[in-house]
Amino acid sequence: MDRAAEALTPGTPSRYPYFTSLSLAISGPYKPNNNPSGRIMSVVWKIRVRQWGLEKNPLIPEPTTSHPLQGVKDRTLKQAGLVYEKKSRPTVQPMMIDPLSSVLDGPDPLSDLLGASDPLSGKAFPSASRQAMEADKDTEMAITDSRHSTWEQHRAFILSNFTTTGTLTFTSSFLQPSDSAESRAVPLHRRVVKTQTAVTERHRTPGMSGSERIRARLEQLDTLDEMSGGGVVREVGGLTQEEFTHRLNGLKQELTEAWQSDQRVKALKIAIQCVKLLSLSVPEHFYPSKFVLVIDILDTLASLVYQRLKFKSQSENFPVGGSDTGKLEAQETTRNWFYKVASIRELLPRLYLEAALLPCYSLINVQEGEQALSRLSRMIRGIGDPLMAAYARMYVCRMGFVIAPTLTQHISESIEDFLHALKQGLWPEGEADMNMGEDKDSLAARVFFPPLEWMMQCLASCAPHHILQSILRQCEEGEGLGQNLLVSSLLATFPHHFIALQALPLTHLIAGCSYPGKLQHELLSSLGVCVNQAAPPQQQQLPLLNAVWKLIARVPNTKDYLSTAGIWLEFTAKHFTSVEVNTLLGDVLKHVGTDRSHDQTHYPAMLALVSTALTNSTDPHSLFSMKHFLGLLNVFQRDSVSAGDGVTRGVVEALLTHHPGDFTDPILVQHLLTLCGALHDSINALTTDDERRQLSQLIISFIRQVNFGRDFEQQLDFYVNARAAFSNLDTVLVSLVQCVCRLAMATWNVMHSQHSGKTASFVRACAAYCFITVPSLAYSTTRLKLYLLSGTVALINNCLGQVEGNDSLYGGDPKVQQEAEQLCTTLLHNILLHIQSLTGIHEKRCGPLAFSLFWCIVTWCDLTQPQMMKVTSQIWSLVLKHCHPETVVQARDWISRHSVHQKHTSLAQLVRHGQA
Amino acid sequence: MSLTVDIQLKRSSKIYHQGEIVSGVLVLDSRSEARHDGITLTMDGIASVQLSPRSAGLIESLVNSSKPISLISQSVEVTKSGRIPSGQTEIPFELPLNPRSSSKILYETYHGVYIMVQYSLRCDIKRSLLAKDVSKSQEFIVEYKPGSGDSEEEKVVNFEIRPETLQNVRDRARIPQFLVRGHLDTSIFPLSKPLTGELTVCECERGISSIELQLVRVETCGSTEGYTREASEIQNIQIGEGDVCRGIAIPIYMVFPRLFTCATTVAPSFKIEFELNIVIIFDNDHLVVETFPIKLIRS
Repeated sequence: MDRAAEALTPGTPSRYPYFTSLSLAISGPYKPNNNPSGRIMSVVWKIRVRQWGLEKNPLIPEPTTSHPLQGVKDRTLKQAGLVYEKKSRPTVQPMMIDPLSSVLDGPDPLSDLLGASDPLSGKAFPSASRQAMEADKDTEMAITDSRHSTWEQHRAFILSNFTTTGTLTFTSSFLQPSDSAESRAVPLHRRVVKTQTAVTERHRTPGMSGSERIRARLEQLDTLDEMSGGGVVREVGGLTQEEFTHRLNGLKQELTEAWQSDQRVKALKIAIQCVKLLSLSVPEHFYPSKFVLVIDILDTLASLVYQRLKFKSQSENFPVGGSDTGKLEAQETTRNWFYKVASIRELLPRLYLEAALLPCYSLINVQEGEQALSRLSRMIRGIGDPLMAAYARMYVCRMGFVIAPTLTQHISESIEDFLHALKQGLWPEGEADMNMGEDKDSLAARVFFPPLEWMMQCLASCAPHHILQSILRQCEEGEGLGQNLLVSSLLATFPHHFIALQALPLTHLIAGCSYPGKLQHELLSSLGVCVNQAAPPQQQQLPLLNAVWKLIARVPNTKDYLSTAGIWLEFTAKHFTSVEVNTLLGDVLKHVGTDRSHDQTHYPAMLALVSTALTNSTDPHSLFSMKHFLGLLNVFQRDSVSAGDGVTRGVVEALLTHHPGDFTDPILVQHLLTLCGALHDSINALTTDDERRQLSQLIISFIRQVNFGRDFEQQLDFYVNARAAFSNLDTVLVSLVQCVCRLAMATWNVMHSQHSGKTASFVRACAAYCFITVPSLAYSTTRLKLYLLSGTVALINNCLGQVEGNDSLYGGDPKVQQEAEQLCTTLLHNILLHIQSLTGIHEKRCGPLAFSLFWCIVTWCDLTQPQMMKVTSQIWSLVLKHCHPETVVQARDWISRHSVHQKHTSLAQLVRHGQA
Repeated sequence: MSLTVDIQLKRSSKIYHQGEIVSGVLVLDSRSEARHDGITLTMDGIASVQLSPRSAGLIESLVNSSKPISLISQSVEVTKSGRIPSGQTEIPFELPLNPRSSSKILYETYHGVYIMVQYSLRCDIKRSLLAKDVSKSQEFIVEYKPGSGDSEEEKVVNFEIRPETLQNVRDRARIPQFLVRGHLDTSIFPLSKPLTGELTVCECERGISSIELQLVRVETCGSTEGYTREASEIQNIQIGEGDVCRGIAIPIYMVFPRLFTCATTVAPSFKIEFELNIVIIFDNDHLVVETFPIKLIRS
């Protein structure tokens, strides 16, 4: 605003010396040399006439490359950049960008925090080993693709998606007796506690005598896998999910404690027992979470073992043999661990524990570890239950990625086996536990997806092209659920450029990919996301779009349809002209039109469409003239209810951001005016200040972007309409007044400062606009400034009537003058009193205060008047008394330098006099 | 007046081969100066065979069993009678590990149910009548030299299990139709390497609950009166859990336990042999066992 005012009055001396003469009453004690008594002295205020044009110190703009606040949230910006890939445009950024909100373009910092893992969740961990493990993890989980989730994310996803309301059974010999059902007041009907002896009878050599059997049993007791922790295995049934989780966490704690008290075998036994929980696949919808919980325990043990072995191999505390002995000793211990684990009888615990210890191979021989890895992934074939096998595969792949991220052979084998297992049928008919009406197929699709996705992700991050190609072939050969899952995980994890190359065959695959599993539109969406990131070859683009849209058009649910269409609209906008975009939008309108009853619910999705089309279009300008695009905008105008939910605002923002240059099309302007009007009308008593501010900002940027060129009349008409529409937003009105002033000045420029009859009346109309608008503003300062501005403009344009009106209102009124003079006197009085009252430790504040006062007087008062000079000299004496000598010297220098061309010889004298 | 002795072998693994020299130190620890009437170090190796009471009868087993065969026995006088100074005294020693007669060989250390082959060093400190003699023994392990033994060619052992291949079937009608094919990579396994192979359930009309590998030792004790043959399980490893996929090769993989195994040994009066059982348990708890004799060697 100030800038605008200055631009309109270049180099003009200020015409409004409001205060010409004042009288001042000053009480005595602060200037003891002159007025010893408390007598009131009368001062006549005299204001200096300023030559702003001469005095102005022009600021030289310096180009800058970085936003001062951007460094803080750089990451967020980059992420947001993926969504809103803003193209650099030659025009000046039309929107007034709030530096604070633009920095927070992404999610707000609080929701950022939500994404991070809870630092307290791992509290059971000893801090030292945890740190060490985290240090390891940095190198372990170096999955590069941003789409790929880390294990932590995957884990969190599983935990939040697979829950059960049913009851669970926990079997362990490490359960405390107090853990039994009786002490927990479990209702009688849910109580199941069984106690069994440690040895299973089934596995014995046929034809053994009694004594032999006893001996064999005793031997078995020595082996690790039997549940001989406390001798007695307890089975607690009827647990809820929380209770189950709580128990597992308890065991984790116990494992850590056992390890720390050197009971390593016990720690191992706990881990084995926990893995055994995984050999029960029901209830299927909880199995993934159970898996994750058990893996936590396994990871705990694995890192404890690894840390210990590593420490051993690095320690040089051996009396004989030097450092090598430590290494050999550690290798021997490592081998012992593997021997122990290899003797575990049951397949599942043996498999999981060996996989958990895979990193320890790095202490013996890396190659041996890699061999073990491929052996382990083949051993999973022995697990009959496809669900159990799938999750075991996920774990082995995860550990494989830790020890040998470049190996892919075992992963592709695992995927093959996974598909093979799915083909053989999931689980026997009728055995699957239904979860709240979820049918078997969708349950299967849900539980089998995470492991496959993880494996595919591991594969995608390092496998060469031909391996990925072979997976695609498997997709083509696949059938049923396996094919569906494979296609969807391929779309979710494989590199964009690979998918882009294969987009057409993939579309055919999707077309033939039948339910069960992910729905067709979900697959199409994933495909769309990929081709939006990496473009398919040129000659494939049109066939691809045709093939895809044929499928999209058949999506039954409007919501699904819209979300899929939105993604493919981006592709269309990027690679085709506005004509194609228009065609697609026409199809969208047709769809939404048939579903009018639910119009409102689709607004956000349709907003996304508008925004997508605008963001990505290669030629947004032509888009605005397209029939269906405007039709889409029309939909939003049909009712104003949507204003409150941010949809309208989104549309306006999208239009403003992506419209190239100024708005010149009256129809579009009318559209926007209606939309903005709806926004304005949505403001009510509950609207926060911040929201008001943002809305005002938005509307202002719209108003500034409207430009009808030389058609000044229409421009003014628009401003009049805008004033009517946005009467509740003061800042918008301010902006309107400024715009109208600019319009008037533009007219003045066009006419080369010689108005004709017509233009004269036009600028008078402009001035009238201003004088009608300004009084409705709430803030007097703003009002004053705008009066000044519009008065100046009116003066230049020879609208003398308006100028006088302004002058008489303020500068010329003797009442106002008198009031102001009185105020000044009281103020000066109060300040001096205040300075006087500052004693003791506050005394040091006198200096700066007196100094500021001195500068005020020197700057604003006419020092050629002896009266004013007198006041000045008195305050100078105060400065001398209280200020630091250095400050005084500096001030003196400055005054001597400047008084030369300002002809303030008296002041210079005064200053010098003070020195003497 | 306490006096202790400890035998410390140079090799921490305590594993020695025939013809090598067993070396180490005797560590004598005495609080004060002590007199002794001579220190001797004895190396013993015995193979003791006990007849199984079940096959040979209780009395016979008691009568015939207590005849350990001495494989090695040699004694050296470390020092003649004298004094042991107070504090710790280390006396290094070296003894060659050779059988009593050159025709004999030293069998591998083995701790079985009926057969035991054990080697030890014993240090005796003779004292005067007033004080007790002090003695201490230390077992060490004898293994065949890697690569010793006859080198038979390694051959893949293919197998096929069908209802028709089964023996000892009481009621053939109750056996479900099934076909399991597979192979062991060889029948001669080095103890330091795992047992490997593959197994495929080609078809099976019943559900399978478990597929297991059972390592069994077979101890045969011979005497003039005849011999007894006893089999006992050493290790059981599950390789298939639940109703495994048909037509997919499941790896057979087992690490030999370090205890309870030794190279397959055939001696005049006893034999230590090993077998592998592949056990397929159906979901009605019926099971099918296929047995493979395997030879364990040192390599």
